[in-house]
Amino acid sequence: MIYLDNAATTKPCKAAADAMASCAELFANPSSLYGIGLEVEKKITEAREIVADAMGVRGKHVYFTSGGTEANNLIIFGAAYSRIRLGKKLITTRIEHPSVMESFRRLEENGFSVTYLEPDKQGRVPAEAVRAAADKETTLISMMHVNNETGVIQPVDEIRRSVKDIAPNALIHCDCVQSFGKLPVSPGEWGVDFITVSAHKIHGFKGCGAAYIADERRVKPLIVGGGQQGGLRPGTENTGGIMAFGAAVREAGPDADRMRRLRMLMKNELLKRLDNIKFNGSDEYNSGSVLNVSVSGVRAEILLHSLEARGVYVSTGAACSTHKPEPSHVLSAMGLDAKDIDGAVRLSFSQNTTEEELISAAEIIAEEAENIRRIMR
Amino acid sequence: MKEIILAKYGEIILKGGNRARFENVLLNNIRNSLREVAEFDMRLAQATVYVEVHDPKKLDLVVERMAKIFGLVTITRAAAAEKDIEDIKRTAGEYLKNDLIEGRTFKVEAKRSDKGFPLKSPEICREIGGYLDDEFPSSVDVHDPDRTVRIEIRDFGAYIYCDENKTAGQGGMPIGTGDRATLLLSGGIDSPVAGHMISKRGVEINAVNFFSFPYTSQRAKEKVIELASILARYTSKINLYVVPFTEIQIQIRDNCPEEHMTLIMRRFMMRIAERIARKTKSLALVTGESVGQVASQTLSALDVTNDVADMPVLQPLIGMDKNEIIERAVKIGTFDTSILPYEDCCTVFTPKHPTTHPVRANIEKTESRLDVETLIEAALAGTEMIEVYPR
Repeated sequence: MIYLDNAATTKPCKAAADAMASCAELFANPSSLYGIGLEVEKKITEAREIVADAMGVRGKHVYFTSGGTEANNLIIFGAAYSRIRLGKKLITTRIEHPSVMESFRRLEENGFSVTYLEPDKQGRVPAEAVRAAADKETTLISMMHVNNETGVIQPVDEIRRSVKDIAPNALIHCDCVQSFGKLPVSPGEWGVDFITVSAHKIHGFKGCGAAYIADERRVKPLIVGGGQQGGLRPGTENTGGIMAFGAAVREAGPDADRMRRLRMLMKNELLKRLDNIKFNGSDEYNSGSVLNVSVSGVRAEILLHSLEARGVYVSTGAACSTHKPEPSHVLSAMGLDAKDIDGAVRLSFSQNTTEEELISAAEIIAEEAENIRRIMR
Repeated sequence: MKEIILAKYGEIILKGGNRARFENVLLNNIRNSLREVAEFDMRLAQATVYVEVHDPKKLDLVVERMAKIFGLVTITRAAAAEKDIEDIKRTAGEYLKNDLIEGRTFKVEAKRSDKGFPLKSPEICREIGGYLDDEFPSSVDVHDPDRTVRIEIRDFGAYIYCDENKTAGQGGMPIGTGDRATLLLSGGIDSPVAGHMISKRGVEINAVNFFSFPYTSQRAKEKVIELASILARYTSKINLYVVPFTEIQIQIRDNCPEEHMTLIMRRFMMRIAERIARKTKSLALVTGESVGQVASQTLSALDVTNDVADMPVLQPLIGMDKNEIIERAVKIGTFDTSILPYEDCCTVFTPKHPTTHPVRANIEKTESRLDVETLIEAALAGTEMIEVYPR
């Protein structure tokens, strides 16, 4: 099996699996007063510190959630409503994950005004566009760090500097689900107030993510309950998921140079073997973990299933959007025509991906694509 | 107070000398369907099935199940009383308190099939009607009542219910009284409805699906299984035969004119379905065609398609409009699954301009470029049988 869909999810690493398994014994409720409860609480605190450390922030500002979607919801709704007296203008981009996009749609229905920034043809939203849209009534700017369909890095480190003078009331959120553990994520340096991260994209388990919240007064809990995590995200903690998250973060190393080399290798291997293919998204600003390619004359879904039959796993657009038969909103926003979107396949890599795997995958992809081209004529 | 279920059947009564056999099949079907959900006793008398469910909490579930059994016309929850007018009053008083509320009108209808009961029907009506009128805030209206209270004096006891609380059954004939047929089941809206209609006539069905991996995905296959499992709520277990079809499609694609693609494909489907039907002792094929719906469903196209099948091809939707079919699909519960998006990548093989008025000789000629028999054999050899249970 050659698994090239790591932007959808990753295989849990051994350390994460061991941490999860340990919870069959370390089963106590972390809020319980006796010793074995305290022991679990300590493990959670340890995981929180690891996640916080990786972002260069303090542990007390990190809140565990059920995943990236919940963290995005918590932050966006919290931030928008916390500054409602200062303004109702929000800014985000056309290429966000649905959990961000749909949160903004909901806010729009409730009287906020939202500006959606367009990416350029390379899939990057220019920092100047943020400045052009912002003013003193702007209270929230949300931009993802790395796009999940193209791997393109967005200028999240420039936003604060570029809007500081004109939008002093703006809070900034950055969805780092696709970059955390792969590229440096530094809210302090960037001047960002909120960060979203997720465990299962970096070899942890599904069902666990975290929100970094610089100032707790900016966020109201979405759910109420027994006061865990300062009441901001109540509910008995997902102890196994959290401990595994910590273990996975400890093993992850920003290794962007290697990822970029892998990506370029794959690109060249495909170019050698297939004509009439186009690559979507910038090479210059790329995390290296995603290669998006449009294969002309091929429906991506058919290619996906033929590759599946040969043990190569890829994706068409984002996994979350395959429930809807609509074309990718990211590629549409980048101005691709319908045919190129229809033929777009996403290959995404992890720290476990090897050069040999990519070379065999390229061979198989070329064979299957030619096969489909012949049949589809 | 004991609440029981009275289920009435319709058409079986007309079956003369075969009636007992049909009744037995019906009772067996009910027994099989209910066995998984509740413990119960069942008996049959006077064209009515009496079901006593041991655990009253299971009554709703049992009614829901029975409402899907072919052959039953109405399913009614009723209170059982002694055949004693005072006990009937007491029971009715207790049972109807949620029905006979302020602002509603009612009337009482009585039926005395046990002629040994001392009061005649009009007398029962008067007695019970008067009692209920005194006990409850509702008033009597014999012409247009909100509730019609029925009192039935039968062999084993007296039963009380409101017409308004009856559940409509499926009607039709019990499965197993009408031989077996093989349904060509796609992931679309029509074929599950066709299967429902034929099985409603007492015909047991099995199903054949054509699978074009990788042009249709694993999820498309799951969708077909899901549809079969919804149908199975009515028919009980369905054997689903999944036939690998990609190679045949590619061969047609490579060797035949594009505009003949669909028809030749369908002729293959009919041939393969017929082989499976014969092997499984089915006596007919069932398809979801409706005249003129698409290019392959014109009369001349149907003629060319059905021509290859040497057994009856039942097409129960033949005269229905799409919205009538959809209405039925919604009613039987297959619609929401049918419209899931994993449909056909199979559109790869759909010609832009299919022939609507094919000439049989031309189709036969182009088809003869293929080794039909070998292709069919290979497809049958790769066929997978899945036993699909109600879900």
